[in-house]
Amino acid sequence: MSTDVPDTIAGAATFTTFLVKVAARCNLSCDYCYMYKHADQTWREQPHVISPEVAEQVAGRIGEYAREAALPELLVVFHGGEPLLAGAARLTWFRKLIADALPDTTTAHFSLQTNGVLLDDERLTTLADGGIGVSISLDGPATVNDRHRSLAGGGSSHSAVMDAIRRLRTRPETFAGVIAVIDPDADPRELLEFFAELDPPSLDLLLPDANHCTPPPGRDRDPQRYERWLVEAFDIWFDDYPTLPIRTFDAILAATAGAPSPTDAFGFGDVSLLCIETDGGYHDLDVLKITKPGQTNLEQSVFTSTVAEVARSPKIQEHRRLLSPAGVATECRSCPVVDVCGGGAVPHRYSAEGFANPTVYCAEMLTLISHVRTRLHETLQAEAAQFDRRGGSGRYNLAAFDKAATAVTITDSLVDTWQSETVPQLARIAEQLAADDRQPSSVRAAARSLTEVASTELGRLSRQPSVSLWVRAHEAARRGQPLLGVDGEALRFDPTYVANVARLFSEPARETRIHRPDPWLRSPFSAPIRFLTDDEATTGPSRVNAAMEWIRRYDAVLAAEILNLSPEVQFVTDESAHPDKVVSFSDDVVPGCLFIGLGAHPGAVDVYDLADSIIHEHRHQKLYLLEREVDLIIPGQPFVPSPWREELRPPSGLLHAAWVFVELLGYWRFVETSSDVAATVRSRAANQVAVSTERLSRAWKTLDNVQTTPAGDELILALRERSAT
Amino acid sequence: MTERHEPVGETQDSVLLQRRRPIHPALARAHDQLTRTEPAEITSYDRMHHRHNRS
Repeated sequence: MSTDVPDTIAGAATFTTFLVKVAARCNLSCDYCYMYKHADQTWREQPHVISPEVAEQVAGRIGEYAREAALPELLVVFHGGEPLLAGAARLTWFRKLIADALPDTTTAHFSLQTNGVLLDDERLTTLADGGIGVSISLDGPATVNDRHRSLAGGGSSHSAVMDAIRRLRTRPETFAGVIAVIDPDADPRELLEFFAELDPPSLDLLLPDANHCTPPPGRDRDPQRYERWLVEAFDIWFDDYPTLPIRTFDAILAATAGAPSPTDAFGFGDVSLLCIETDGGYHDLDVLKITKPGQTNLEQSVFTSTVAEVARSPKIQEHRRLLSPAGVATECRSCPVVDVCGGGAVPHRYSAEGFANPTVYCAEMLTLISHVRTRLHETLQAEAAQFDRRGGSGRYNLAAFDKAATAVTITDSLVDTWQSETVPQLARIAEQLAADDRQPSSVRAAARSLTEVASTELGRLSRQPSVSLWVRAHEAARRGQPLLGVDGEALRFDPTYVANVARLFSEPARETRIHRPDPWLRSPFSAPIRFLTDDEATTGPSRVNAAMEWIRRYDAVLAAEILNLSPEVQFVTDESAHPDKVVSFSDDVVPGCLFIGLGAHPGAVDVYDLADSIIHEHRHQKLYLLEREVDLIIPGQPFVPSPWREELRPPSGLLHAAWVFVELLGYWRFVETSSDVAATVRSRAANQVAVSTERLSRAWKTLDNVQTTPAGDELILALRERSAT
Repeated sequence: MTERHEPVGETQDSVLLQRRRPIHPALARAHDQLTRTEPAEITSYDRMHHRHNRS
């Protein structure tokens, strides 16, 4: 950080947050409270709750300031003490008073920070209907929370607060989050498990307020206790609960990577909050009450001064300086983490000599920020390596992969890679079952027959869709994570199926298997998907064979590819679909199986449509094969419009659709130009070509705005070029 | 209380983080923070949470 910094801050602060103390008493007696248990005891002189006269004056001052400062947006926080002691109805009345005082050009947000004890159904309804968001203070499970947050008259506050949170969870539009104060005696894993279960929209873990006059509790006997706790909690969160939004940790990660710090706890910045006490007095940040009596008092009130006048007051100007690079302690200026830490929270810098000190949590900040830097760097490097390995260009010729005629060596390579995982797994299952005395002799015998099979033959077997799923179910059960079907039901490994596997081995290779009643082809699906009865499927095999003959005429290598990669066909119907709509699908849960709709009667799906369905579902399977090894789309992007669907789709779904329809475009062009098909079919083909061409052009435009890997770029380029020819 | 406005300088990691959205959920949020185009959160006061209802 540069030391060439100004000593004064130009201009006035711009307040955008108004912390309005609506109650100056509390129904809890938390031992760490910065309002009541630290240096400043002037709360005793404050009115218990804000009066209507003060409230009206506050509203007028905020409205006046919003107009003068042309604020586009502001936040009013109803705070205390315990703000619900002022009454929920009074708060909504106060909210309306402030909202009515604002110019039309200012958008206001209203929030309440409460301990939750008084938040019953009626009060919550009043606040929610009044447009006031609610944030709750809770330190963790009862064993942790009750160490510090007892009722004013004694006793646990935990169950009442948990009731409040349960109520708030039914009001997601009102529930803003949870604030917790760290107790380093609490087990961080237990704490994070508790909050992960609670699943608040946002969580903050705050260090207990302390400074050089009042050091952090217990640190004298164990100087590293906060450092250890923060690092351990960060790692547990980062590794096991990273979807839980913990503001402190999110902020430190983002700030370490270069984003502005969004929290008071650290980082440079400017004053943007004004506190107003119940008597209407203007105050600086309320947490400064931990320093010395009167530190926050700006010696002006809503009855004497405008907010704009307060914004220029000496104390606010000094506070602004402390938040700037000029305001950090001399020793901080050469610190390697000062750009992230910013000298730490101002109240935590205080000593009897003033604020020209590093934060009392300096060692903790240095350790945590350094640790976060390391974790950030390592994780980014690991992801980058994986990205380069899985998403880099040039690993496979994806233009060649697209076309069956040039794809064979690539698909063989992908299959080999896939088998290098599945063959040992299948071999291990066979060995285990063969040696398992608890299994019936028929199971052991079938398993034993498989142990004698050459690995190349096991490879062919392990790729059979049903066997592949069966093996994966075993591997998932072994890891203690049951494999789920498309319907969400767990797929339980069945040892007796090994006899079917052995039977499959004895069947000839490279032959499409049609509508086998195999549970490992059908179990991942349930209503509304129904598998056709044998009677309903009677015409299916001959129709599939006819369609495959037609595909051979279009592209003999594609037909061979289908037999190789998609060797199973099952006939299905979707009972929720319109009777005129014929549903076919594929899913990677059963790799290599095509689930095909035959329509209500043979005329509903003719040979050309059936060939279309087979090619369509096979193309999905071929892309699944590639996606096992190659990343094409950067994950986590918003859904996008798809020309083939009414609803938004994940970008990967759109790429799948484009991948499928590029092949089908070629197929229908072939049908259109085939002289021996009926004119009505050629006309239908021409329509398919026109529709697919138009939809593909829209898909390319959407995919232009999707974040793809270099491999994804390469594939999309190849598809675009092919569709244009 | 403060509007933080002094980000650290651009580092190799920050460049990497901005270039693409990571898979790790916490890093993905950091990426969103680094690349966002909407205004910063209205408050940095850390003694409360508020719901921001920006469209």
